[in-house]
Amino acid sequence: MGSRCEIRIYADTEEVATAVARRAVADVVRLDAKYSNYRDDSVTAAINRVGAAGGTTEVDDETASLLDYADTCFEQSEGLFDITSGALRQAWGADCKALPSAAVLERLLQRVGWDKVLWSRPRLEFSVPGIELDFGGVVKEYAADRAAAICAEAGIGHGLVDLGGDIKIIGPHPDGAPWSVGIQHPRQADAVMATIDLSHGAIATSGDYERFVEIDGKRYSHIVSPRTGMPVHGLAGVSVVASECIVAGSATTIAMLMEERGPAWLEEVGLSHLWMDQEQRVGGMYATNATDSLAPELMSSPQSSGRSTTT
Amino acid sequence: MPPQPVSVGADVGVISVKSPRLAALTAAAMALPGLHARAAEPGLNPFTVDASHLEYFESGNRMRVRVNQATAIAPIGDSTQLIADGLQDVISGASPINNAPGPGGQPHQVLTGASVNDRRNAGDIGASLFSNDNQITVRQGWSSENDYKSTWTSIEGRHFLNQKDTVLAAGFAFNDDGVSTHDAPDDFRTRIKRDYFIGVTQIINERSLIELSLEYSYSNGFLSDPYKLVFVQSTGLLPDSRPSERRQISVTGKYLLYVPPIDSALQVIQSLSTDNWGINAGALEVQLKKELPGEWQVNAGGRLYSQSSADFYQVLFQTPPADGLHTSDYRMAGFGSASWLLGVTKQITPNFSLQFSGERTYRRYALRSGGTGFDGDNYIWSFYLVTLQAQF
Repeated sequence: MGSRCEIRIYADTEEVATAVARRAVADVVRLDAKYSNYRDDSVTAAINRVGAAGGTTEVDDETASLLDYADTCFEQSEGLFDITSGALRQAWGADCKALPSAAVLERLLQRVGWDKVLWSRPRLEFSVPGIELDFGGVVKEYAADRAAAICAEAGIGHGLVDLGGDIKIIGPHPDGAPWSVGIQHPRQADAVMATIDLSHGAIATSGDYERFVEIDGKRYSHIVSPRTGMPVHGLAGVSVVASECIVAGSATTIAMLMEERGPAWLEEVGLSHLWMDQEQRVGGMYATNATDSLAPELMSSPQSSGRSTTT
Repeated sequence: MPPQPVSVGADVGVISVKSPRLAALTAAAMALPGLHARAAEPGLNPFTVDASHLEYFESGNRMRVRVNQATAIAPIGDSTQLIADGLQDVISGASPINNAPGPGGQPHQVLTGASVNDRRNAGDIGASLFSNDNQITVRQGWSSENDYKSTWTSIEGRHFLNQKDTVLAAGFAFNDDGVSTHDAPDDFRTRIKRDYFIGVTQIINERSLIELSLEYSYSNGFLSDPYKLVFVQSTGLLPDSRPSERRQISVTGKYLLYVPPIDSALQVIQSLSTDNWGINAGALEVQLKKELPGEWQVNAGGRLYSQSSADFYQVLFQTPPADGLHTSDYRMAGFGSASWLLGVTKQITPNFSLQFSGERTYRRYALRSGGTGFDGDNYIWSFYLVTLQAQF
């Protein structure tokens, strides 16, 4: 998954905990391989081989459900959440040294657009050649939800699954105490911006600080708008709480893509959230959880360097 | 009869989803394979047995009531559940019969000389049928004690709209009661009551919901209390005599709000009612419920109630009223009450929970909303409820 992942569970014996965690991890690994952008044998690669030429393919049930989910996100985000945005990575890759020209972006944008794909479960038809699907925006959160369900089904009542800061709670600590999730400060590495207590549900965090390119001293986010081809510039970071990690995760991405309209969109959706903008203003239903005055000595985070940390 | 403990452990809980956007995202997420561990079937409970024991006390060694109750709910297939309910209560103590002028001319209550000791057995059976958007429940109940027999039937329908964010409900209940006295236990007189109600529940957002209901009831037959007397200065004691028809209309609003800063659910219930006997009543109840670590939950709140007296109520009568209608029953008087309630629930295992709750009510003439009454009816009552709930 390319990020710090952990499963924390309480079980009667260490053997049970190990066996259950192994099953959950195996499923995460399976999904990572199945939807990897970097493996030739992945489902993503197979779909994109068809997409490169323009053509039609049929997908399996799990992939179809993920495409249905991505399709819903596309609708609910006015077309901003788009799993065909992957082509834009070519312009904004980690090794990017200069701003891409308008001509380059325009050429890439011709290969972007979920509306250019005809999706009729289980059939996927690429009307324009060169379109690439990228499941990266949903699969990690989906994996967290599934891993938590695997643990719960094995009788685990207390624990959590944390896939690089996308966290699904299995249940509170055995004494009923909630998990305390620390949200990383978008502008101060190793500082906690707020802590959010959760006994169930999920939390996901997205920010412009996670992955970015710096060109001429200016920072460009890894989240790129499928409309303009340009990195978004609105929120520095956003965390969303939902029942399912996949919903929390896609909501954070949509809020980032909505830029300054992100907070209003989250309000409309009705999900509890916390955001910080470029001026370091903080808002959302969890704004009261933000560390007072964000004094550096209060915010040092001993736990880890993840986007969200748990205690 | 003491007021029923309807508000104890009332339904203050987690409020579910959702805005249309969230509903769409959640529905798409739910369609993903393996997202939830053995998701419960919607609408149907597991086999459930609830047993509870209630103790009710009034101040001054008046009424005491003990209630034992058990409810069983059994799902049959995917779309039906059966409900059975049994109850036994024992009422003992003394209750006011009439008012009489005291030595200084001040009225006072006269209580039954002999202690009442009544046992009531009641039960009902029912079935609920579910489909995607509808639920219909039919119940048939019986209640029996020496001087009171009741048979009732109810039907209630629910219709779910807007991804279940909106629930419309309508119902009808028919009660056929027979009333006698200990002196003439076989001389049953008939009392019929029909209740109609409609209601709507709307989930406003993920943390609040509102519920409104309108109820109309029509009773006819023998509506007097055969154990009550009135004191008439000119003639002495006469039996309680009430109109043979009663029409009552009431409206109830309920608002539920989850308050994140204190991680608690707030419930506010307000109801207003009026009837053709001249009794106008209002009640306001506020409750706060909070989950605590270790599977504990506490709820605390208060209730205010106020009513005006019936048109044919007087504390004492000088002469018999021309229409022959007269009562001095303290429940027909103008009065009000203030209550506090406190409860704590411990989830012992996923299948067993134990609940203790208590309520104390102060009845005061000064809190009436009109009409007449007197301070001699003031009293305090309390009840304690212990509930053990088991789920299988």
